[in-house]
Amino acid sequence: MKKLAIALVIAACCCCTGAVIAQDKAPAKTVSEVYDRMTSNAEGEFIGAAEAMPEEKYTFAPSTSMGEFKGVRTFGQQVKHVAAVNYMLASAILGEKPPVELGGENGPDNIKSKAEIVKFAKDSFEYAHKAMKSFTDQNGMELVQSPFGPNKTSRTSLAMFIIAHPFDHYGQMVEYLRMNGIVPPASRQ
Amino acid sequence: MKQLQAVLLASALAFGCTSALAQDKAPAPPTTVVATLDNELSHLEKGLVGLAEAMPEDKYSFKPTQGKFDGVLDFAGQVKHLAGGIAMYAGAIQGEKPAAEPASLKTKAELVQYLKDSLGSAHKALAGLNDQNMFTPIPPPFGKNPTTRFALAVAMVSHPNDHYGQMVEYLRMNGVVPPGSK
Repeated sequence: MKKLAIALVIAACCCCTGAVIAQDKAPAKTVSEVYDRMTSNAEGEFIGAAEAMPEEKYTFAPSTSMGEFKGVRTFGQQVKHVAAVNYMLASAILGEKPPVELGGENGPDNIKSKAEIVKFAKDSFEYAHKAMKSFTDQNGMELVQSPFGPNKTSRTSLAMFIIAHPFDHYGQMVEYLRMNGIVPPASRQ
Repeated sequence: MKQLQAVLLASALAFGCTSALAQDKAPAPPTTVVATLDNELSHLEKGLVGLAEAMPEDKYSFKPTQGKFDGVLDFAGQVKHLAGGIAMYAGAIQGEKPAAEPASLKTKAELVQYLKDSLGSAHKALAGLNDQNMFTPIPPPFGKNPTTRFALAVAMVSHPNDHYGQMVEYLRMNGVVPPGSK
């Protein structure tokens, strides 16, 4: 057991075990509070990876000579996509229009430089926190309009997606970083 | 909106998004927080098992080499780490020791089965959550600070997405388009 725990902690690709360890305060007592803290974990890993990539590599995507990479997003597009989706989900939870122009789930065209993209991502997580703090045990399961498709879904379902979705792209960005000779900050010992 | 759906479906990297879209097909949305988590776990399960099955057996020992990849897990290691991690979380939620690792974990079939079994134990762990026990402080499986069954459950369902993203890249490096991205 100990060996497995150590293996989990030191595994180069393991991110979230650290996130659980990082909870150095009393456990969260509500669904909203748990989701808000988990958002912080996702945010920490994700923004760390976004900041670690040099600006000139923001246009990097694995080439087709490296495998089946036709049409995949560049590093910068991955960051923008997660930020835009954060805004879409959080605004649906809050029942309001996104506070910034998103231009769809890939983010606005006018956000281009690394600094602009990182700021867009940071702001999206800040807005996500606002959404996470907004719902209660009473209205968390109320159905609201999904930003994807015609159906309605619950606030907590959208909240869960805000936590899970960045990790998918984080896992891909980790590989993009390593392909460029950079060890992801969360994996440095 | 239709266009957005098409983009999401077609998007080579939109595993997470397909899981949201999949809600469109669901007969009725989950009515409890735990059912929502279990729903997400089912999407995750489909994605992870799909990747593990899509990778050819002879590529299970693959790990990237072009770049800074010292010490990273090979594909088999990713599957094993995932399955072991999920089993550990599931065990902690149920107040039990995690299910023992199978004696032999070498072949693709053995690793895929281990992953499936761990995901099965994750569903079982979620089924045991209720309003009375969700937020009771319990000892953590990692570190020192007390946690709750619910916090572990959310971590158990979200953490594997990180590995999903990595495994997607491993597949693509081997010329395989992930099933969830087709």
